Amino acid sequence: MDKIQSLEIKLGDAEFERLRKLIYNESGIKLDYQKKDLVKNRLNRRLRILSIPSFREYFDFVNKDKSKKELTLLLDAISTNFTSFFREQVHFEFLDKRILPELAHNYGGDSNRQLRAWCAASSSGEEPYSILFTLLENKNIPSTWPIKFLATDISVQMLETATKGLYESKKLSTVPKTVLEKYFLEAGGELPDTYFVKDEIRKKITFRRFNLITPSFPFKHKFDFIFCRNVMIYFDNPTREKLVNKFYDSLQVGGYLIVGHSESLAGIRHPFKNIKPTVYYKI
Amino acid sequence: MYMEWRNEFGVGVESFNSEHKMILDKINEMHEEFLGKNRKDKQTALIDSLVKVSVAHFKHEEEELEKRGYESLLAHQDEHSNLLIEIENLKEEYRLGKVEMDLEFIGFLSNWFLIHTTEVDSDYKPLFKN
Repeated sequence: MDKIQSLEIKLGDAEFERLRKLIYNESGIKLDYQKKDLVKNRLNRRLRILSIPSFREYFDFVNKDKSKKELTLLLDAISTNFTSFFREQVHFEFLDKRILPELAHNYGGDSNRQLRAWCAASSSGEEPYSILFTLLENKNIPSTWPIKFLATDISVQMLETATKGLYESKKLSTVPKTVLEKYFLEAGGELPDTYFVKDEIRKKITFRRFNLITPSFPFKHKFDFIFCRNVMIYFDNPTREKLVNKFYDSLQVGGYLIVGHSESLAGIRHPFKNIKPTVYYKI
Repeated sequence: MYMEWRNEFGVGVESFNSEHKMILDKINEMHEEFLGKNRKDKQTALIDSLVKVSVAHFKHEEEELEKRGYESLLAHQDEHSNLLIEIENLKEEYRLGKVEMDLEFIGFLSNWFLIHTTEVDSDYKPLFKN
């Protein structure tokens, strides 16, 4: 066995600091010093796969990679996402019982109005699909309204998974049976116990790579609601503040920002009204 | 009371449930102080004591989950460490006077508790069914 594989590669303070700075500059993700061991353990796997013997060399490798592919693999490794369908269920109930009826009430007279939604941390797709299923199942929204749904993530690998819409049945335990039957098909063949989101449903979402620390957002139209859940936990307060204000500018009046349970916006200066924990409203 | 105990906050493990109750008690005490005297020293002490009971509970829970080979241990540990980091940030902001122990502050903690016990902890329940 290769000697490298049998020994854990140590991560020194100086190397950790360099990685921290690189990650922060590229993605806004703030790696707390408390996370040093976690980073070391998770990245050891990457180093072994790449046959790189030290973190110093790994840093050079990431830095020189113009495609940023290794950077996104690094980010994937250090930010484990406890994601699942209809996670933080209250958000989907709020979407169904408050946000969508309000939109229908305010704009129901316009039969061609586009419903614009943005899932800003789509990860492996469970979240945007859960939002989409909620939209499609909602009884208030006129069926004539085209749905313009943008789902973004910094990780190309995550986006590939999300775009495929393929999930093992154990990941579907939180999907209501009626939703499963209506929007999924069994993959069958070489993929037992696996389901995929039907083609015509998957196509309703535009998946794109997008870095949330982009200084200004390129969107031509404003969104009706934005989900950005359990990502800002990785950002420091200045980064969160800039991002939340960019979200505000990207929303229609009466629009909503939904954040995750992991992050607090206490102390962040923004013009939103905090309706309840994790729910922000543009007056 | 700000947040009453509900059965869904329990995970089928007596000791974990007691620890969950202790965490919930701290959050309720914070709310009482917010409605009442709003004393800085009391509020700081409450944050410290919340961290203490949370750290003890997380450690205990993670040890038991590791013993049972819990598949999602890493992600679960992340949830725990992320909360502790977030509380540290809030404590510092509070110390600097940038944040008050108001409903947004307390709401964040109570909501975290609710989501974590009912959606995250609930995932490991099958491991403890004897």
